[in-house]
Amino acid sequence: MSASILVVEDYDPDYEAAARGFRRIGVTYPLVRCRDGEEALTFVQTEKPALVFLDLNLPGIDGLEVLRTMKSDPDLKTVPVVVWSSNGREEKIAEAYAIGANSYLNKRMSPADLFEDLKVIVHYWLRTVRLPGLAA
Amino acid sequence: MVDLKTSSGEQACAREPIHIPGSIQPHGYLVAVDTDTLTVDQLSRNWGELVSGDLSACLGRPLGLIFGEHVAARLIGNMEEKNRIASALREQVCGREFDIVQHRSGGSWIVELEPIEAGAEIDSVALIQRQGEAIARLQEAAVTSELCEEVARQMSALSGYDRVMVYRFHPDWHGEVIAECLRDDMEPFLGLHYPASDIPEQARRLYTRNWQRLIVTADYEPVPLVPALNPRTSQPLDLTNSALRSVSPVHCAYLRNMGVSGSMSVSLLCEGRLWGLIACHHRTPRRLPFAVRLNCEMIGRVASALLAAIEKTDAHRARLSAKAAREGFLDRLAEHLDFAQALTEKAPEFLELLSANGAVLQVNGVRRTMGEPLPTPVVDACFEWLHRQESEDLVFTDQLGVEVPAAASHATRVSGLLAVPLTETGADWLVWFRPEHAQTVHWAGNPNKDLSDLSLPIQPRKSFALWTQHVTGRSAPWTDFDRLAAQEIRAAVNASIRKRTERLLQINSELEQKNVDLNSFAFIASHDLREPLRGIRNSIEFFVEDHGGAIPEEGHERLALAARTAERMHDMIEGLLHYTRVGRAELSARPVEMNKVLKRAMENAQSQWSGQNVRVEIAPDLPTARCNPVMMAEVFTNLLTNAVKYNRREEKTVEIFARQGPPGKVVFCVRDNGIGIPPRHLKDIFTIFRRLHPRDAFGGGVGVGLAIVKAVIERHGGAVEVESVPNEGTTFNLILES
Repeated sequence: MSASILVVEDYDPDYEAAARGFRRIGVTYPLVRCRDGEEALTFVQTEKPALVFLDLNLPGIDGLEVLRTMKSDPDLKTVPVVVWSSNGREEKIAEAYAIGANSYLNKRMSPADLFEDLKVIVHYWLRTVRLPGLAA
Repeated sequence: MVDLKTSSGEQACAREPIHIPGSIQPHGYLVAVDTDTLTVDQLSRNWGELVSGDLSACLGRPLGLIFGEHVAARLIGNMEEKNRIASALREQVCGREFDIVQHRSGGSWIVELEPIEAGAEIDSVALIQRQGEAIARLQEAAVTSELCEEVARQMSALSGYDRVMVYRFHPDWHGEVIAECLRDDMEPFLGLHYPASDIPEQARRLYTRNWQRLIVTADYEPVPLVPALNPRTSQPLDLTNSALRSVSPVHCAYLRNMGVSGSMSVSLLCEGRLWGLIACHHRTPRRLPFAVRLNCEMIGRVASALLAAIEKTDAHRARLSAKAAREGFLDRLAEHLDFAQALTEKAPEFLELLSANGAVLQVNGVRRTMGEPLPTPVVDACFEWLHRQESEDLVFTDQLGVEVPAAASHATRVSGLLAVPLTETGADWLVWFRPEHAQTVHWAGNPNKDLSDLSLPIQPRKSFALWTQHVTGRSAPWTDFDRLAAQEIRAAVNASIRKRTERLLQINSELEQKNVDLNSFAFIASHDLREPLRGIRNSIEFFVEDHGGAIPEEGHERLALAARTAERMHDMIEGLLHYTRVGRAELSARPVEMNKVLKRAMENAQSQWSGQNVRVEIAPDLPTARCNPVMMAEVFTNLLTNAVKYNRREEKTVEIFARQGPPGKVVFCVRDNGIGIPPRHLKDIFTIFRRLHPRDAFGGGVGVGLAIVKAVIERHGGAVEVESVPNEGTTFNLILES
């Protein structure tokens, strides 16, 4: 099975930024986009992604709910989730980690900054650490 | 000066037993008959004029012996009828014609004979007609004064006395002549006051039981009864209702001193109490036939009946109209939210409700005056006095000068005070004032007669010379009715106060809510605005990435500007967001050593200063202040950053020290040697986003730093002050709780 990177993001400009970023860095894993929590939860039942980028500000099911659902599912909880949010509040960050987020990333204003962040993330999660379900 | 109410002299007067004088006036004859045996118990000694021989021969004998069988039979017939009002016959006895009047007194029938004067024929029909007219006139009277004037007139016409007065008793039993009908050549007594002792209690009691008294002449020799005591009871005969009763020699002397010979008085009763008298005086002896006397008595009885009704109707009408006025006023008051203002606007109407000439409303330390203005010290003294009363209820006086000495000199303007407490503070009052009800009382003779020498038999006063008494320093008294009105007004005012307080509380809470909402809004708005900004920024970036080659140089520059503008907007939003967070965050203030806070602030600020010559001097022993250390760190960071930013010198210096502030506060000062702030801009520097320099000058910046400083300090309940000399430097003084 091919491992995919799931990006849960409803806001097009943000998704585009991520997609471009990934492309420039040279990520080869296919990107799957879900626009809301329900879509995402349906997708992960059919296919277990290697890595998830999760926006918290989603229509319908709240992003933290999606996180909670994934992290309480014995099968899915091993999937690393990078929470990607414009909400920088301390409480939200703590809450996300408490539910089981693996990383919390602020959405940066400047695309250049975003690109730098993505480079680090990709380098760390996809090129440095070992992920379950991904061939070395 | 002798107190008339309690003097023993007055009591001596009152003790004289005028109802059992044991004698009669000489113009008639009296027989006392035992009700059971119908025999003669007592006779007036002047029977000797009618029958020859020894009077004792008549005692104990049947009625018929004296009166003859025919008259005796008629008399007995009347007795059996058990009439309460004296019944009268006209008969011949011993060869002369008499009006014979009989009435019951205890176990005796008292039969009194009055000789009919020759030629004094009474036309009964005319008399009844006249009486009917008199009564009709009385009934037309609408108010008490009209009634009394008509009574005097009708009585004068009916009785023919030289002077007829209506004499009214005051609550302390002194009397006042309130209506009078007299001959032209006589001196009027209208408006004169007579001391209570002139008509002592004994007399007043008798006048309440007996409607009419007649004295033919004040100069007579009393005719004793034979025997003096009733043979059956061994008690004197009760002559209360006797027409011939001999009156007190004191009273006769009194009349003689006044120059009066014949007199008659008829009682005026109101609801069973002696209200006054119809007093008739004649300069010469005067006798009224029984029928005329009866007419006069009737006037008194009818007037009495009308009195009760008139006074009740008057009072009732007055109460109703006052109540209506009050309710109307209070209803209109209730419509105004600021009732104190409404009250002041409608002051004349308000004062009228209690016949006041001034009023003061003091609520929550605010004092409003209506009507007659009074000097502030006097009003203050009144409130002080009220406070000392410690009363939860109404307080009033009609002699303000006595209670509040400061008001004494203003007695003409304010002699009476009535106050109701408002709310529960004890300092809030509604006060009404009344002016002096200047009274000049004209006494017929000095009311303070000396009754101290009891060794002398009681003497009536000899002097009726006019004695004027000025009653000053008193206002019109506050009646039950006034006090009731005041209580009603108090209730309405209190209700208004409560409503206002409730409304204020409600408005307050609405404002608080709006504030919270506004803060939430600001937070949410700024939070959500960042997303589209990212969108704009990204769009520009992607456009350049994808089509950059096809764009000329200026195009790139313009796009770069657009990008920078979007970034700037983002910074502003971040700043706004941060600013609103200050308002929403928990304060969690605690005592904090400011040096620790400054260490943190320096760490934050220093990162911006690389490459610059900056010297910061922080006093090593800064005091402790109650504050939130994180927030204060940001405050100092901002101030330090600004101090260095807005500075053109080679060596930029910042001094931070503290000094003593007002009690309970401490002041931290941040002084720089920067560019300074022109005086006219000092007030603007704390306004969010407000720039004093071009956007990009001095390293740019959003314009939120000082706004946050002010918001934080004020959140702590403190204050920020600025001192500055352009081109020299600026000092920020932060006042916090120590």
